[in-house]
Amino acid sequence: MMLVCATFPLIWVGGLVTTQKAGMAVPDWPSTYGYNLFLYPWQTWLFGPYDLFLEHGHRILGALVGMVAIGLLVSILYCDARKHLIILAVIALVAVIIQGVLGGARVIQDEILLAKIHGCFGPFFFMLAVALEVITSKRWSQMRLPCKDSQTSTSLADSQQIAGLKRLAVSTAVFAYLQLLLGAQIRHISPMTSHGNFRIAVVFHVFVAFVVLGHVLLLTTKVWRHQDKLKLLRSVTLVASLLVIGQVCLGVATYTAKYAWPAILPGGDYFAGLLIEAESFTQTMIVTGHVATGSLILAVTTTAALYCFKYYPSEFRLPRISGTTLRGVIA
Amino acid sequence: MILQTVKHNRLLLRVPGFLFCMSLFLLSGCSEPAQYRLNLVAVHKVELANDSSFESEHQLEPIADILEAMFGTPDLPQIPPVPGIEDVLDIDKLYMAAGPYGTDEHGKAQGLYRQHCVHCHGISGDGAGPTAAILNPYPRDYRLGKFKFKSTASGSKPTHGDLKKTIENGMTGTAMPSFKLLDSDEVEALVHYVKYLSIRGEVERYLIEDGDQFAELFTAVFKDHSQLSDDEKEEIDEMSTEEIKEEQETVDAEIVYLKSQENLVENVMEFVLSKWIEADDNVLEIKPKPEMNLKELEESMANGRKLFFSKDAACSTCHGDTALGDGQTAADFYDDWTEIPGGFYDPKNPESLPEFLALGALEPRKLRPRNLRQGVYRGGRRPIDIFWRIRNGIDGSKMPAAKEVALTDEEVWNLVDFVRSALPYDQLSRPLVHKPENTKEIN
Repeated sequence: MMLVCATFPLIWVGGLVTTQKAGMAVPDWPSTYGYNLFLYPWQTWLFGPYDLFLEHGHRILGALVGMVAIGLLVSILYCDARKHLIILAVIALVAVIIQGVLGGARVIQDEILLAKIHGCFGPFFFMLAVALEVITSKRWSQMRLPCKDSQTSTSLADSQQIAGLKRLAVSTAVFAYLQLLLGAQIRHISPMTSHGNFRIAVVFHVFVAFVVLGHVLLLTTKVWRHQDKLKLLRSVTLVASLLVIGQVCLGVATYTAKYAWPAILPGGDYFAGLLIEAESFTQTMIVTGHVATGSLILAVTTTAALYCFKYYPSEFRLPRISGTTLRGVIA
Repeated sequence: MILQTVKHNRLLLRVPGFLFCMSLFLLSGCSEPAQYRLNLVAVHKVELANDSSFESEHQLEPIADILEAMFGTPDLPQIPPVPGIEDVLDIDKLYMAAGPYGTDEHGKAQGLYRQHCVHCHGISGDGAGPTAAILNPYPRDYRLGKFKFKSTASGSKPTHGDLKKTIENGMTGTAMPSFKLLDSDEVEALVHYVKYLSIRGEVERYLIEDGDQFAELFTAVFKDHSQLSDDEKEEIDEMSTEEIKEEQETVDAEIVYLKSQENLVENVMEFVLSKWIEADDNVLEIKPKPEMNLKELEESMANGRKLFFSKDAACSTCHGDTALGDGQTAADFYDDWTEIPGGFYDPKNPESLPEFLALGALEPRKLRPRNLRQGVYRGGRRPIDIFWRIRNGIDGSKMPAAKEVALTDEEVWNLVDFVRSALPYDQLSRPLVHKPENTKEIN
């Protein structure tokens, strides 16, 4: 939980760094203007230029997340040395190190491609941190497996429904991540990108937004209709739906805050008098909020997928129903 | 348990692979280093007009070389050594605006153009940056040297202050933001960089389009037979080998002259720079708006209404009888950045459009006269701003300048009063619906 709580602000500040184009506020790495990361004068950091405040703060938060990841691994080794947990904690630690190096390389090379990879790997790490939190939590170990209790009463239709539910949950998380990748294409634009390619990226981003929305709503509907006993899963899917609906609205708000009201939407007259203010607090928060909510959606949809697999583990096989039995049932 | 779940589920095994492939696909392609792009749209326009393609080694490359020698690169700009240019451009400010963005430890900004402007206006100031295609209106292409909202007479360059005002105030209802949160120094740097890109773009266009520069060079003598147009083939076929060699030497000598300081300073820069130097002299002097009591204001508005529908002002022709901007009578109205001769598109002959679009030109969009009932004016809503729009027109659009013989200053103020105060503002909850574009109903 601590890792998740430390990582989400990191995602926010990372988003702010990109929104404010503060990535190159500190030209060296791992040092900050020649100082050790933790020895840089705090007065200059806190009261100096805003972009330096953001970039150095992002680095310190990153280091903090790295330390929490080390702490997590150590505590798992001492307290709960289950093999899969150790593996996941090691993966998380390696991921946070890779992410740090990617951030450093982005600064040293001043390369947009590295910024894109850094921006895409951040949410991936956040997803990993959330997965770790879910798996190591008490609620995970206390989760009931309703299917095992009622194996005999489970029909073939239920078995197909469960398989479909698991597929849907996984594909929702996959599309949520794909959407983040597309978002990174739009956010980290090279000045030499052609307007045609950028337009394609925007169109795809909008298209995938509706794919994610459709998936999440379908998943929520399925869970709420057929899985009335799985309260945790129901809550998570409901949160995911609300987040995605909010994210679509934030997407429109982001476009409006950056480029004026989208011409393809009705109601342009209401925004005819809108004046965009570059670098304003509102603009920065809307854009960064859109980025951070994307990561949150990825985390929540991943949680939903994990819950599905926890409730219906794969080694559990539903009883095969023969054709004769089925005909008898139908008759 | 998780690992067992993963092992037993092919779906879960496929997901990371899929994500990895998608990531590689989406993140592929290294970012190209920032460099100016040659104005290939202007090149192609000349090619179509002359029925002859530009030759790379003897036309395109020398033009690119000249531009780099005179103006430097996006990372390291320079100012050509021409008398008077220091009144227009400040090299220190250009350094501040150029190059990759970032700040030093003291917070001094660098690379401001790439931080704030390049995504819409493009690295060359061509108005075709990455985001351009999704914006309406399109970002300004500086290379034509035309700017809409200014205090100077029609056809003149804007003053430094005009450009600064646009950057600081932004343009309501468009993607052009207000940069008033930037330091004054930073805004100054951006103004200088916009002028620099504009002058560079105009020089480039002059070198490409002017008959005395590279457009008319007989470079057919250097081309492969397959690259020749029918006329060129005819001419080349009639020439002997010696004549071709002689012509090649002549063209080489002409290129040497075109690249010389004499040509670049006295012909090219003189033509482009003089208008920028004179910009301040072309500011329209306006007497302050007379103070009025309520009765006088009502009379002024009533007179403005008459003028709005009169033949002299003819405002309603485009802005419509209801001022909703739906009175446009012309079948095809495009701005100067789009329509030939300034632009690339000939509405009467649209066959060549796909060729220009392939070269990076933006899809032509029809002009829409302003809906005056929204109370939104992109060039500013102060009375003087509207006075300038009427008196000076809007360069590059179809909004003409009102000549003094047609409208006196007092009559222009009457129109300003009518537009600002007499027109009903549509309530946001009940905006009036435009008539179909390009139609005009006679009431």
